Amino acid sequence: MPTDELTGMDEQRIAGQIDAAVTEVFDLMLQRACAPAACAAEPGLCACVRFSGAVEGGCEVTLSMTTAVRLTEALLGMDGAWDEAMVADAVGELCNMIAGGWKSRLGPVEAMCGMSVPAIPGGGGGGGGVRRGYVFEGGVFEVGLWVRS
Amino acid sequence: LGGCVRVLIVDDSAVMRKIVERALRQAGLDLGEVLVAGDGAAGLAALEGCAAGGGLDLILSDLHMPVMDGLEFLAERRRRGLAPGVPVLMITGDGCDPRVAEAIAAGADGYISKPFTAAQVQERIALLHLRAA
Repeated sequence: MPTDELTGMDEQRIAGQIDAAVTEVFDLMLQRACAPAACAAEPGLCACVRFSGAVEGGCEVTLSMTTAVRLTEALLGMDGAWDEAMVADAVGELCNMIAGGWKSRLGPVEAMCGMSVPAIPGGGGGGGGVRRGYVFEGGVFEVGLWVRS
Repeated sequence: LGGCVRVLIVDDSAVMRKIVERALRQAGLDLGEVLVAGDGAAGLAALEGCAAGGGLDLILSDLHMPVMDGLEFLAERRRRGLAPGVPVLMITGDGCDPRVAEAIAAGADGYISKPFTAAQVQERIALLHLRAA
């Protein structure tokens, strides 16, 4: 049963998979450095993608509005030409790519799960699951990932 | 895909539409008009407009969209006979989604997995050239 296998996945393994997915997104899509950080992100904006099927759970990205704006500018390669909807959209896309990157690192059976389109519930994240912090251009963002059987 | 290229980008994310457009330019395409649509239904409407108003050279469509997703878009495009010879590249954040294979069966010519680089986009376009040759 795939979910049973996932319950046995240790936090360290999931954390490593999140780190690899985040690094891949920043290397390929932003060509910017992003380093793991011990501190938590200031709540401001949160995007979430759900997994369903062979894996039930979700992935969320939490960050301050200031960091979200920096991220949007880096993704779009511009300064200043953004609005709030675009910033939320950029954070949703970041979450989507990290979730997809994590999923691609699962075994073939677990990877047979669906992913929702990104949702922006607002505020901070749920706080559960494996959580990893990263520093991007002086701002901190947090990725949380949880799975359940 | 030589000369001035007319492209349709179908994606619910305005940010991703801009990123794809930038990647196409960085991949060396001489982009002319870039049409955009926020979901499959809007993409079909754009194709209908193109059928009346001139050709299209390339379609890029997200697989995972609200309202009408990429698979429905492909199926409906085929059913209506819209832009039949125009190559389609799907874009997905979930490269192991089994629907990628379904999209290929439904008429897509390839896919680009997010995150991607301009070089990877260029590679996919080169493959389209080879297929067309």
